[in-house]
Amino acid sequence: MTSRMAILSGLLFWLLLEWNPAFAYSPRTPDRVSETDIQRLLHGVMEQLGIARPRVEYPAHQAMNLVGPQSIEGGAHEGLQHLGPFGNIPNIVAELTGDNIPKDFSEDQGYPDPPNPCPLGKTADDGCLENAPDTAEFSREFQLDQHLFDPEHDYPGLGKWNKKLLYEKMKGGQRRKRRSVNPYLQGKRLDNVVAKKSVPHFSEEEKEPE
Amino acid sequence: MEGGCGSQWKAAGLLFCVMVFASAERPVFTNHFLVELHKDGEEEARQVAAEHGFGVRKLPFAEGLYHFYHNGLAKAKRRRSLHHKRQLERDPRIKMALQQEGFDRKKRGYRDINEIDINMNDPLFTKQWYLFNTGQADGTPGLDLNVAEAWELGYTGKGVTIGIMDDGIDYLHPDLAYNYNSDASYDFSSNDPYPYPRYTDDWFNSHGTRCAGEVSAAASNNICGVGVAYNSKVAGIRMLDQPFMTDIIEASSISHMPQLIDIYSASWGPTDNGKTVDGPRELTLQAMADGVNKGRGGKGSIYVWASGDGGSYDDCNCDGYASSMWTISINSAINDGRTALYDESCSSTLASTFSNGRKRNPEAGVATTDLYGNCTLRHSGTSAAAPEAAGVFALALEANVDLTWRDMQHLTVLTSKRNQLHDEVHQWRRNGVGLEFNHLFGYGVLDAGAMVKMAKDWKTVPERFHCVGGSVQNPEKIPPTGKLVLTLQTNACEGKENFVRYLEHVQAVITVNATRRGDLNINMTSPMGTKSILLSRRPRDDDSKVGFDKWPFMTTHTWGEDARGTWTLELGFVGSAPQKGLLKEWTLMLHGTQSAPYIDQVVRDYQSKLAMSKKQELEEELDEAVERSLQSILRKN
Repeated sequence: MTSRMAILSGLLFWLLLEWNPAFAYSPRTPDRVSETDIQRLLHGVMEQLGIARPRVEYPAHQAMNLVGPQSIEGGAHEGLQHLGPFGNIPNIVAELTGDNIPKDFSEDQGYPDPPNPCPLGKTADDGCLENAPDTAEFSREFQLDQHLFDPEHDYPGLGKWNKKLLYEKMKGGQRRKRRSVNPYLQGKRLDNVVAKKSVPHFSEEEKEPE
Repeated sequence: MEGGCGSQWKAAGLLFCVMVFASAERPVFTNHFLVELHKDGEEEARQVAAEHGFGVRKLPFAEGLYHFYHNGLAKAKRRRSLHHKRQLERDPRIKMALQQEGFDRKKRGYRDINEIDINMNDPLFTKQWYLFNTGQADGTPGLDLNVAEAWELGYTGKGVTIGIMDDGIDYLHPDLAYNYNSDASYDFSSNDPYPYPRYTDDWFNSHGTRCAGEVSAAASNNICGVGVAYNSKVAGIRMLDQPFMTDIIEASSISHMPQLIDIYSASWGPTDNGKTVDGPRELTLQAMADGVNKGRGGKGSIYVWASGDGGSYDDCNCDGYASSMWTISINSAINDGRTALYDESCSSTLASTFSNGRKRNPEAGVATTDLYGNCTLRHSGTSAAAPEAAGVFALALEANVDLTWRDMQHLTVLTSKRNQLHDEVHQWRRNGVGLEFNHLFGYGVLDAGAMVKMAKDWKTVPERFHCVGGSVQNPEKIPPTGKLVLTLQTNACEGKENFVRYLEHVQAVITVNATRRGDLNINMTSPMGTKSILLSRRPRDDDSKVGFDKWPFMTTHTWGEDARGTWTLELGFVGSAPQKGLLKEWTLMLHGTQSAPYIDQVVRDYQSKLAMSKKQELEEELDEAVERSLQSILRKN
């Protein structure tokens, strides 16, 4: 690094003093070389040497002053999806993230965790389920066993669910017995975050004879 | 003579057919002869030709050479027509007669699916029109990602990992299991390393699995279809399926294993309800900046973002994720080149891929893997477009692992194609350096073949600088009718360390209030005359209080331009009722390089955008050097 610096300072020195003779085609005399010229040349040299000071990107270049509830989406509320392999599963309910229905998970309800089958190369020692079948039935049964809520019955507490209450509960964290509290659910909360999963229905959609 | 000309064209057409259908293995002889006469002269040639039963045409590019064509001969045959050749050669007036061989030439862009040197036995491969469009579901043949060319060159995504930030991945799916990178995966929704999707009765959480299949579904395993980068690895980042989103989940997701994950694909963002103005919050913003600065060993994480599903009622410049400089925001076109109905337009969109959103025909959708080992034909939405782009970028990264996050954007600008994309409202235009762009599609549809070829020889673009080009801080009223027009003179920090000579992104940071925010229109024109629509009408946005507070509207349309000169900002209202507004700030942020980014690049295709841009840069650099010299001489005298 020191030798590089030596090269560099040598270069700078040479630049200031020896500019004109070296670039005979340039009519510029040393005293007329502008600062810009030197800088541009220097940057060129540094880039070639691979020692250009890395320019970084600053968060300040994006909007930094956003406040209030964040509305993010990417979820079910966006409208009809073609669900299931044949597109024949009815869209029952806008799912938990992103819809505008307030939900309150009371004592006997909750947000179930999906099963964690072992991917290729992992075993039970890694904390996953070995030989779990890749089926809807298995996932359904597994989640039902958590006794958090019954997906068959259209979320009985649907009307009562309240995100604020739920948030407070999760923050408190003590009332959930079956599982530890997800630390990622702490901190600043973003409302209405959803996945842009499906196409909203536009009335202009072409009607093709089917 | 005119008639002769006509028949010549016909002959040429036939010749073309001959060439196209002829097999390359054995030579094919055509009914065309090259004839050289001892005595030059068209009259002589016509007479000789007529005597032997040939038509004739003088070759304008050579002396004494004629093109004899015989309509009585078969158009193409395996053996030379020795009889005709001898007959011609016996004529004392003829010096030489050569029967033309037919070559095998292919018309670009139109290939038969059997013609590509790729055998996929995956049952849905022929339905994947976005990979290889042969006109399936009334589509436009040739309108696809041109992945076949990249595959044929040997690029299939080996060694590249793509993270799908979504509702999980069915990593047991036989088409995904072998390409699943479990060490780079995580489930932030339930805080464990296994992002398996949560079951619901409507199988709603199938989205991540569908996106993963578009990128990394294995090839030739007889299951579902083929991923764009079918030898790449896919990582699941489950983060969309929990009671509510937090800043920590977002930030953790986009900064998850940035040395293992090369490309992040996201299909979420602010609500597309046409009245939201929002973007990444503090932690997420920090995580993103960190990703581009430090990810992938300092080369920068590649963030691919779906531009949004808000349709013509929304504007993705109001989405701080899609309009960020650090994300490549991708819009979508359907299989005949039109926009999808949900397509959200904005000036920050860089390029497009394919999805469906107009046609009822299920086969016009995106064929891919589905939950619990199934397949689907009907993946759709702008979020189907982002993973396709992530796959193409994976191919480019395999071709050149040294590409930085900015290199990827430059390659996207240079290799995306207008192809046959069209839109009734927004026309294709050229920017100040001749790059063709469209408000909806950005620089066009991604072309994987062109991209890997250019990526292979690509030299990392020069250092990037940030310059505050100028600022208008005096409050200005926006009139109910007509427009408020402001200008800003900038030298793009010339003479300072952070001079920006060749633009990449431009941001107009704007603070404005209006009695109805949704009726506000903002356009900005660069010194080279390129107009960007920074904000178009959002009829559902009735905000009258918040307005935009130091909101960075971003445009990619001025890519490569010289920022020095006068920028113009126009603000006006559209809508039924008269509105009032007040512009409080307009700050021009310029981002780009001092040195010409394309001057050192290797040009292989002289028709390419790169060739054009390089030539232009050389000319500009020369002009500026001459100008500097002149000024120096003038000063001396």
